[in-house]
Amino acid sequence: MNKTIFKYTIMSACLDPMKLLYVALLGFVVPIGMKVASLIHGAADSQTFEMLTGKVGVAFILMVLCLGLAGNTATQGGRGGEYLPLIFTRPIARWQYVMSKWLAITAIGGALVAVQNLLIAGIGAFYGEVTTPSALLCTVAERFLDAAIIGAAMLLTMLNKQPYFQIVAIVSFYVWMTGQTIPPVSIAGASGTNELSLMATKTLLGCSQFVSELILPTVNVYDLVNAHNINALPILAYLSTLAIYIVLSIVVINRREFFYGTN
Amino acid sequence: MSTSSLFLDFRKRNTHLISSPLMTPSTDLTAGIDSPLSQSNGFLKIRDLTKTYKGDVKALDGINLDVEKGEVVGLIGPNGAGKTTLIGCILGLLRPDSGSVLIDGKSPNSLSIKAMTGYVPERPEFEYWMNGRQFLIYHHGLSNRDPRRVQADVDEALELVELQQSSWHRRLKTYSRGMLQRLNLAQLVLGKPQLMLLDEPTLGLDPTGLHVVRKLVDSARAAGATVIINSHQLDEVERLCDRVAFMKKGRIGALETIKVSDGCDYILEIKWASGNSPEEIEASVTQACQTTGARVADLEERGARFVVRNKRAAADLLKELIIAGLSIDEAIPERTRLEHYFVSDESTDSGKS
Repeated sequence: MNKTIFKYTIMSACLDPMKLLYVALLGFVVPIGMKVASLIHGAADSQTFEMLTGKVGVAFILMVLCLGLAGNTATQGGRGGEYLPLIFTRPIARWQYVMSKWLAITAIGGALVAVQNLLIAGIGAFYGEVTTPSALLCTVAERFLDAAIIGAAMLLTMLNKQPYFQIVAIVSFYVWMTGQTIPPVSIAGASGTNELSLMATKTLLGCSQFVSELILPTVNVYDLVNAHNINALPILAYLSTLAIYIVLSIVVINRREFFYGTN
Repeated sequence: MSTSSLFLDFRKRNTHLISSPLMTPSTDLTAGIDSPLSQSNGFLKIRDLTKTYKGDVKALDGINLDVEKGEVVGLIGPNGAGKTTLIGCILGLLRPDSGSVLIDGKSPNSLSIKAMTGYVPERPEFEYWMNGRQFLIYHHGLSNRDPRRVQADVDEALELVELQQSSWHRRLKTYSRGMLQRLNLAQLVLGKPQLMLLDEPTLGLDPTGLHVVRKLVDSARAAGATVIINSHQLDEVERLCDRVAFMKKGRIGALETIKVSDGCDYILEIKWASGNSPEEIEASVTQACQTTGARVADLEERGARFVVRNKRAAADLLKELIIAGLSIDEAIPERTRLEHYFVSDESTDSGKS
């Protein structure tokens, strides 16, 4: 890893006041407000809350803070992408660049959502909610794992400038989001003559979640730690997908040419 | 005696003061179009380099070039000639279709070569949240320089490019075009490169900035670094470079050696008001040329074209002519000697069409 790239990537992500305002609102003010409201009224946490404090929350924060941090300039100079060639004239291997960026993005996303989760746990504890330290640690670890795989996918999207790939990446993101957000009631409760059966609903949900897991697999750390028999499949799925994204990022950046002149 | 015969007579009598504008003694054409290259042990060796872009656009078409260690070489040529592509191949940013680039016997992609290479891009992109110092500290880190030297190296680079100290801690988004270009030059020297590639280094710079580029190239030359400059500022190229390669349509059309000791001759056309007799004009011109070392290229009744060594000599010539009694109307510097490549190139093209 290149320490300079790691450090400056974090600085670049965290020194934009507008981005920080967005992250403060979406990552902290809104979920903390929702948690406090549900605690005061004795209501269960909403699905939106679960999303904002889980993997989707990591994705939202990384999309704002880190999109454009690799392969592009951090700010809009009108000719994005021209900063990278100057870096590659320096004595840095391209794989080093990819790994440094990935680690920085993972650190940013993981740390912010971990802090968010810890704050919410603290507020819950204040209102009498019981969370064990091991559960808390597992949640924090899971957020870092989420950030690692989302960061790797984002990195590949940022470095591969091919238009067709960008389209695939955007579609994949929406497919993944669908798998994260479809509430059973929205399908089972649909009105009209073609109301879905419970079996059809389950199949649809299963399909969307399966595809979603293929795109960005999840490792449930708490279940993994507390299971009597370790199920290696989620870990293998996670690690292999992560490896694919990182290796593809390195391949893409190694294959790319950089031209500084006019077209 | 008629006026014209008088001036013809002047040319006969003052042959030591007369020269042809494009046959300056400092010009030594070592290679013409497609001529063989000198067989030297070049620090930078480029052999049969070709590069084609999408749409069968041939950017480089069999480039051969040797550059010695410590040499300053200029790349000139019309837009689209392949100069920036050539620099991209030397830096390893572009992959050639065929041919080779060797720097000190190694590939440009070798990290040890990158550690000794510096580059000034024509249109750099900056991360505008940084300030000037942060930008250079960042590049110092990327250059794998000793971290204990970071403050000293960065200060030295900022002072070398004469960036005002008050701007060192300002965000880059507040910098002017010229200030950004100075910073662009400063990042070049951070790694103490042995091979410098400067793509339009004078772009956006004011006259003091031009002085900075000259100083930078001179100090690189003194340190034994090899410098390649791509620029449309022909007078600067002529002033700074030991050799100049004229590129056209992806090929090196000519390679000219410029002898530094000969200075940079150029043509100054001076026009004066009528009122002086031909004899007076002749006497004034002769006296001024003898005093300043200028040579006469053409002499007419209302003006003359002089070959002068440099701008200082041009100013001295003007002063002497005025002192000698000529009423000067205007003085116009003509093209540099490198410009004739472009001019002959255009005429060839128009002849073809």
